[in-house]
Amino acid sequence: MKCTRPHKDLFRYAEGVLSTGEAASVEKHLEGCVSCREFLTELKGVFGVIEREKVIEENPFFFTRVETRMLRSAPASLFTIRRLIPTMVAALFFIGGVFTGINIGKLYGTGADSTEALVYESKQFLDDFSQEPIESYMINLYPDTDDTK
Amino acid sequence: MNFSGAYSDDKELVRGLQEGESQAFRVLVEKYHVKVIRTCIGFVHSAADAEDIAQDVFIEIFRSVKNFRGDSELSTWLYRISVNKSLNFLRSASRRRIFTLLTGVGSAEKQGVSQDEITGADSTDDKLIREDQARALSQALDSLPGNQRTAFVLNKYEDMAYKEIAAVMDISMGSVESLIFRAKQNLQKRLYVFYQKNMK
Repeated sequence: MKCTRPHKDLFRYAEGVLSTGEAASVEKHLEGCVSCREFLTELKGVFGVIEREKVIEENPFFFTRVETRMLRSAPASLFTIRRLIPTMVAALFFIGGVFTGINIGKLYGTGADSTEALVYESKQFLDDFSQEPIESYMINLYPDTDDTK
Repeated sequence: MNFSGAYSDDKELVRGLQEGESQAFRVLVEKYHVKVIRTCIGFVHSAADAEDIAQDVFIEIFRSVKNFRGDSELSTWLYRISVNKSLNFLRSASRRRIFTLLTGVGSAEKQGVSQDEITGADSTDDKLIREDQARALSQALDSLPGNQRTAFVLNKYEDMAYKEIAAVMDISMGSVESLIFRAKQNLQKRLYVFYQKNMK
């Protein structure tokens, strides 16, 4: 016989926690079922893994390791200096950059006291006609011409 | 060196810890480190990871013992922290694996080396069989819901009675019995699937 699913009590049978009656029922099933017998072997192997994993030897150096780890680890806190340092450095760079930019602007600036004055000066520079009327320009162009002669 | 004479029972130990006595902490670690590591191994199946987690457990105890009111036994509190730290470790390991799969960044973590693999076996065939069985157990336990897994591990790895498990998990004994029963049923199903895949 080959079950499509293992006997429902096979796990607990492998553990040895079934009552006498229940165990007898499983054993009767096992006599005629190859797949359950093979699976039972696997289950016993898995229990063997648990038994081996449970074996832990006392470690005389464990306390020293715990102590070392405690000394190395700082308590977690949002407000420790270590966490703030990157933010503070970035802020310093930003402030320094803005300050430097302002000073460079002053160094190479036109000296204009205000934006309006700057605009006025630019207009004066670009507006040739208000600087020198056309009549003055013509007189200066032909200085030797004497209409009265 | 055995300092435990200065602390006749856990109540004395708690008093010493709360008063900051370093000897008390040493006694606590020496008395309980095997149990804590064994509990953690039940979850992570790696001696190295279990030891790491156990160290965290004792550091947590040291930092928060002043808040311990004594509503439960010291050992119950220890087991509770061990279980929580182990489950947190598994959750973060799972997130790291998903991240690695999704991004391809970082090497895939080696499945924790089972204590069983380290102890060795008689022959290469036996070793391979044991590795298979260890992997089957690890995968089957991984598939259990957290509470079933906790109840099963405390029962099988720490040989804890249902009453003690109920105290650690803060549930009734009936619930513990039900969790363990369902854990065993689910484990049988998972192990059978694993067994059938290997048989093909």
